[in-house]
Amino acid sequence: MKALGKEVTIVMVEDDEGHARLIEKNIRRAGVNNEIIPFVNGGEALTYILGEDRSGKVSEGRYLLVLLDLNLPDMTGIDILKQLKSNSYVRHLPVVILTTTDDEAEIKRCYDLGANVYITKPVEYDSFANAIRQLGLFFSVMQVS
Amino acid sequence: MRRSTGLLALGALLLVLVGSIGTYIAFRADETFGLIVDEREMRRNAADLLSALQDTEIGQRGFIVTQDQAFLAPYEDARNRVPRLADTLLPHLPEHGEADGAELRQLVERRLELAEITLADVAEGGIDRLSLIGLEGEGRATMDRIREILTGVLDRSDARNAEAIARQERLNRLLQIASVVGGLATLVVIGGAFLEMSRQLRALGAAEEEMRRLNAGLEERVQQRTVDLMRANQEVQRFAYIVTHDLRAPLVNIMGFTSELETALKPLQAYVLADGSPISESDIRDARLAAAEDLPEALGFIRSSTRKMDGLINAILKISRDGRRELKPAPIDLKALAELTAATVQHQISDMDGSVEIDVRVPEIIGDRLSLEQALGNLVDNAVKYAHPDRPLRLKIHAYREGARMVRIDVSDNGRGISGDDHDRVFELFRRAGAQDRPGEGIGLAHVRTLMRNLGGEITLQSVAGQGSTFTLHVPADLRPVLNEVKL
Repeated sequence: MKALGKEVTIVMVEDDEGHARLIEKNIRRAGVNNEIIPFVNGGEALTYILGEDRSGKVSEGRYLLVLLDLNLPDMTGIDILKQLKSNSYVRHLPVVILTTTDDEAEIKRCYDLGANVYITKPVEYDSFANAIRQLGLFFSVMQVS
Repeated sequence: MRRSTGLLALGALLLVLVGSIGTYIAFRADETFGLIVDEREMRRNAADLLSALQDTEIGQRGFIVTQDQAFLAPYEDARNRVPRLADTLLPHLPEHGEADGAELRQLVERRLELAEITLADVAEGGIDRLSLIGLEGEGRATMDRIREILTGVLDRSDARNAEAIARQERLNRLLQIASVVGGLATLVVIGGAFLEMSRQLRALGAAEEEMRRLNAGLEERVQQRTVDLMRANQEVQRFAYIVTHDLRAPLVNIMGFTSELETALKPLQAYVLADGSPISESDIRDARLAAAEDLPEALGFIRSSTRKMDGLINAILKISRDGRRELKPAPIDLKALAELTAATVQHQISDMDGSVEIDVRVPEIIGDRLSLEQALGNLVDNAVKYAHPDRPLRLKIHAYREGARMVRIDVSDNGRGISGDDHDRVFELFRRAGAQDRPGEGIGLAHVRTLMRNLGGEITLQSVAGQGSTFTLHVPADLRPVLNEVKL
């Protein structure tokens, strides 16, 4: 999976180890072999994407795709989304929201804030796997553009 | 109130009394006045009779001496008046306490008779000196007797009159006194009525003011209750959201790894159930991978997720039990409680060179000991747990009054602090803030908040990230009225 000829790195912000493993397995099963960097809390993920100074300059020229869980121990995914989408260096990075809730108001809020895709983690495992495969398709589209 | 009504009753009684006395006096005065008029009438009649009789005497003597007819005219005139005057006077004499007048009538008739005889004899010229002297002597004696009787009547009448007038004067004075007393009584009644009226007006005003105040208080309380209800409702929704969300996360794992188990089962089945058909190298490799990695991993996640769900359910149960536990109001010495709580972490604080300061400026409060112990214990534990790594912990527990009915307990530290975005979040169930480098479930502060709200109190937070935090417990100084209100 490449963007403008460069490998895309997947940043996965997910505090639940099991979810992280399931997401990774399904991404791989869908044939996506890009590097996945996992974070279990928001603070560390923000440090990676925006840098220690939170300026976002570190991500200049990086090709990242952010998988973001809304329900994190130290801060909400909404806060992270806000920070990413209000930073001029990283605003263009695609953000995929992953969460267990299917609350409509929350979904709308994420889209309003600039989330690119919103995937609920369903209890039905098959549809979850299917959603992850769709994500694989999304990566391919990105590769083409 | 009693004084003014008493005054009113007294005044009314006086007025009735004065009125009765006045009426009585008026009747008596009227009666006396009638008596005086009667008495005067009688006296005038008596005087007239006497004067008429004297006139006849003068006329008679004049004629006898002068033989002049001119004297006969006044005599005749007076003589004609006498019977009428006697008729007017005599029947009324007994009414005035005098003798019945029979003697007087005989005397008067005899007197006139003697005058007639004398005058007739003189006119004929045939009267001798001796018989004249005899007639005149009897006439004078009769006249003297009449004069004596009538003068007596006149004198006694005068005396009776004077007495009646004196009585009238006494009545008049009594009437004056009664009028003055009546005036005073009227003043008293008016004063009493005025006092009573102003007292009732004041009472009415006070009642109205009280009603207005109660009304305003009621509106305020309804407003407060409405705000409380809305807050409670929002919390229930937030709680339901968190619980479903957090329970769903392990459920996603269980379902997901169950599917992974199924997936891993296929190469195993292909290997184990081959029943003699040829098995490829890759089949063997897949089966080994499934048995060595995929199956144990899936089982491990299923087990840990199940355990996590159990933990979450237990935490929810604990909070729910706290909410239902019966509170037992008892006197609590906050200073002793703070010292006891600080003692439980004393060795940890000593290890990091820290210090504890306790300043309690409230007398005993009435509260639920267990709730306060747990709340304070939680806050002190947190202060130790989240101490700043670069400096020794300075822990302060300050307690002082807050308004008339509340007490606040500040637990301050110079620890790592909490950033402003997380000030609400730290009190939510299963939520934590800052670096996740300390063990914990995100239950403690949610638990403290539940405890405080059960007590009719609240927990608030002031904190600057990197500098320290102050958690404040606001609790009622007396739990009993709060419990009574909840029962209502």
